Amino acid sequence: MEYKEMTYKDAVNLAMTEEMRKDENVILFGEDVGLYGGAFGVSVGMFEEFGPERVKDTPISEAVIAGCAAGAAVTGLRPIAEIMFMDFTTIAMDALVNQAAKMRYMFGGKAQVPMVLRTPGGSGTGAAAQHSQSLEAWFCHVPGLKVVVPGTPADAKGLLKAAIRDNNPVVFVEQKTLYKEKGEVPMDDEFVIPLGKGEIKREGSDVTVISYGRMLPRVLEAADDLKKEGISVEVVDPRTLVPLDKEMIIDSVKKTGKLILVNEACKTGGFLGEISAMVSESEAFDYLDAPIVRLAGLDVPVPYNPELEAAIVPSVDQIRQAIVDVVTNKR
Amino acid sequence: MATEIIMPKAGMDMQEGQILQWLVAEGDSVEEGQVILEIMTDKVSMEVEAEVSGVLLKKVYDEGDTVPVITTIGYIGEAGEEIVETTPVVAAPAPQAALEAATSAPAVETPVITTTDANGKVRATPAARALAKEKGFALENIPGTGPLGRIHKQDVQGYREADALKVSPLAKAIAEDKGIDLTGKTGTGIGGKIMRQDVLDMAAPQTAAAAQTAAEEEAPNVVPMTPMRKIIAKRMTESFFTAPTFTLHTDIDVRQIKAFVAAIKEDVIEATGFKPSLNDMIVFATSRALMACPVINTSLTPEGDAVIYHQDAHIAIAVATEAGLLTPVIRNVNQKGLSAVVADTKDLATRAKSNKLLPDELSGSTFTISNLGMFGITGFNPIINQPNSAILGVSTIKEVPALEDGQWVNKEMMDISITIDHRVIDGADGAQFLKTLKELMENPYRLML
Amino acid sequence: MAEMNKETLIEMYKRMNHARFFEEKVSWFFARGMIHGTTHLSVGQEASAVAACMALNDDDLITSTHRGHSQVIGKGIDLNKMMAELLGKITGYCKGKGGSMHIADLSVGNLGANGVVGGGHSLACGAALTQQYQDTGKIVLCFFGDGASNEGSFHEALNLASVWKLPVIFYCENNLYGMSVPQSASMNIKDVAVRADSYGIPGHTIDGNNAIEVFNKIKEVAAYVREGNGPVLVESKTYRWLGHSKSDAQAYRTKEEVESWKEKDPINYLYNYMVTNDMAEKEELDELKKTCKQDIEDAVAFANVSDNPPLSSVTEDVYA
Repeated sequence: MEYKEMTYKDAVNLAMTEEMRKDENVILFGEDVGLYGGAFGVSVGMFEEFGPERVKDTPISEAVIAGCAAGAAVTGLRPIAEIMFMDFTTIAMDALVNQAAKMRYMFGGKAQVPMVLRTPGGSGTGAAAQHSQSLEAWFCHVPGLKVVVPGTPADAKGLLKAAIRDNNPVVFVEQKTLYKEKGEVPMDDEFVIPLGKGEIKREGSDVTVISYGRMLPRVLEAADDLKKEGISVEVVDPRTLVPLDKEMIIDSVKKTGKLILVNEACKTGGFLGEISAMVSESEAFDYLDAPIVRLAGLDVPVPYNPELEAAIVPSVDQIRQAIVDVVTNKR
Repeated sequence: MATEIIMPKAGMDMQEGQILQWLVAEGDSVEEGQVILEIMTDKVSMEVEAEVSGVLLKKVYDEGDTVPVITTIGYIGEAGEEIVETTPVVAAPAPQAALEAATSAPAVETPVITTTDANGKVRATPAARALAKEKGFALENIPGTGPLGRIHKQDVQGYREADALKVSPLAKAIAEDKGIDLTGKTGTGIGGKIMRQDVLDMAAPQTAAAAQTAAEEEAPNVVPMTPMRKIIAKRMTESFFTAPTFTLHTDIDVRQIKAFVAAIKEDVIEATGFKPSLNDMIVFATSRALMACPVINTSLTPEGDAVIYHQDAHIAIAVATEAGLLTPVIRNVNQKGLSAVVADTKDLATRAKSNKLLPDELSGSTFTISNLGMFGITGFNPIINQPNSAILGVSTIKEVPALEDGQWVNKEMMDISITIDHRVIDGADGAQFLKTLKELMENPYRLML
Repeated sequence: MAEMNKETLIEMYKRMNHARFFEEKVSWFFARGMIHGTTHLSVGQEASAVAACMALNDDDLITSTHRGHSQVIGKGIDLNKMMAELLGKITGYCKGKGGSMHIADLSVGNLGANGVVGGGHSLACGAALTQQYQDTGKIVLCFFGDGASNEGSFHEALNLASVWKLPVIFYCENNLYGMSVPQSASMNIKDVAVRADSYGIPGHTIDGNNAIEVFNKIKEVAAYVREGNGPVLVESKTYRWLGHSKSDAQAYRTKEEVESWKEKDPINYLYNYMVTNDMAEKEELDELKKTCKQDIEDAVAFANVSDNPPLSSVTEDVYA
């Protein structure tokens, strides 16, 4: 397979572009996605290639962006809607939660809603409390939605293509601070990563660390550091939160007996708690040889000051220390 | 306020000690650090020093008394001071208030290793619980190494059931009912398991004492066992009744090795100050034979489902003393040269006879040699010193006329025997070991290889 | 496209009667505890709903509301499946999983009733976007009430549809109350239609109890919308005879007011219109009414003999 190094952002663009070339029912709309190329430049060049019929600027109207996507999807298109910041998905909640997620079930299986809602989450850009949240857990709580959080450029491409081809509403959470991160991306236009399939990013035996999105590179850095000190860390990236690759997680915990969970979102009510509970309920329980540890964002709104902002999410040092503590039975 | 003198706990296994001799009388002045009495622990006698200066106010127990460790046996204070009986210091769980104070004090970082929490629940990980269940271990007996004594899987893996409190369900229930702490106690059941009658005896010591008195009246020659004798009795019984054993014998021609000893005698004396003996050569050769036959240098796990192969040969030598049989251990004999073996053997044997061994020098063997040759014994079947899997018995040397190259000569033959635990070792293994040892002893140059 | 002729009016009369009898039967069931949950009845609004649907092409689309029985019957529906759905049966439109508020039949362009007030506005935009993008020639009629016109989604949807020139008719059935609150207490305008001006689109107010007026106006604006001129807002003034839902004691309005609207019964109006204009004999219409009543009884019989959905179906159809 041919690979090319590109940024996370370009991988997202490539996935959309390939799918739009392949299927004319795929269209993109959102605020400033057209000529401007999107607030983060993700759709740069697409307006030029596909024109205003398929790459559409919308008014600043998140509710109707999401609802319009659902209505278009249920009538035969495969729309990709962009919400400029994940924080603004709150305005689109009725369309996502009450409409898109429910239609198939409440109509007795007679409808399908093949839409993707792309939105960038996460802090680290100095955008403060209303432009920096990681709200993925909100969507995970709604049956009918799928939730994807890619952590690498290749995953971004493969997962977005799968999301566009999926016949369900998919919330595709991109990571602002990863947009410029580079990685090798398969150029095959049939490179599709099935939703619900995680990936073991590092094989290890002493502890399982589950992470996704922005925290994944930090976890990998900590794991690689500790390998030199003889600590073998298995890093599991579920990649999609709904559906979740439970089998991969359970198998890994059974192997290592220890589990650390790392994400950026606030700890309370976060998805890490869900994974933790799932593991506790599973056959992996009897293999647990240490308390399950969560490293997550502090339960505060995201502050502006750069030092404060950096302090609310797990650092590489904190991740490394937590791994050492858990592996040596100190926690 | 008067300071208690306690029966010290001088070794991991020590449960009780006997007062051999008070060196000061009540009313005598004592200095801090002054030896004030001698006690007998499991197998050694020890001196007890005064922890404070003052006057020996009272001896609570007399010479010959055997008391549990940490029991107050006397008081030191100011002349004429009245003794306030204090609650004996016993190993009990810290009271909740004290525990809370200790854990809430911000500056104090001392870990509280309790394993069980305030409600008596055992702190253990799910994996540790699952493994303990699989192995049939009671979690509360397993020491935990995690925070607050939490038991992790590796704690269970490293746990030897023999260290656990063995108690029958009925005995446990009675003990709980009567408030008897069984920690550290052993009983009369298999493997020292505490049985119903043991607990009843603990509950009614006066009854037991009365019975003993009655027995003494009928049979005046009944002498209470010393702590050491009790331990020997217990261990030998355990060994004899748990291990299916049998003994193999062979004769070794010791002429060559005696000549060898004579040849190196001066060099060894110069190196160690001690004269090498035939026994030293047996110890030395045995260590080499053990390395050649690893199955002999083994222990059975407490669960009896696995065999521990020891990397090194720690050889216990049985030494007869006035107080009884001692088995000091020479460590890593396989790694030592002959001089070191000679020196260690002499040192341990000397101190064994003068009762100066440290408790740790009496444990940890992987193999034992018992030598009764000096008593003219021509052959015997020793009992294994568990947890060893085998023991070597060395007998006296007999002159045997034999034809050699057409000439009548006196061979000097020595019977050696090995008693082996058939659970671990088969007859052929034991025979192979004796054959190896015999070849080494009869061809001492091979010891150089 | 339906023409204003006898055949069309007879069909319209039939569907309005079906709607009326259907809801009367539902009310009867409800009073006897045979309907699970609640139900929102549109008795009195039949002309507004049915005539609007009849003015559309069969393959045009609608989004419906919580008060949607007349709307979906107007679009054309299998009464058996609809009654079965209300009784929660496996043979219902939604296999018993949707109930009264979620009747959908995508095969006849019914994109589904919506339990959320204002929930259909943006869905209608999306459905219209599909028609525009795929150049199907179909349009979307978005039903909503006066209350929903105060939702934010109303603004976002009309604005987007306007700038994108989406083929959608925003059709407001103004029955004068948002649950208990009268229109005068929730907006400072008399006609919802004037809001069209804000979006630069046409707005019309019509008599919703006059089936002929409704039919003609919707037919007119449908042509306008279908030509690619963008959306239109139509306000149809009408009145619900019954309470907001079955738990409504209606303390907020007088019996006299209700009676005065019953005088303007849309079914009687159409009946008289057809008889007066020699488009039908009384006997014919009376006979048709009886047939309609029987159709509902037949639907009840169908629903009654249908099975409940198996418990195993509870986890089905969450995802495609």
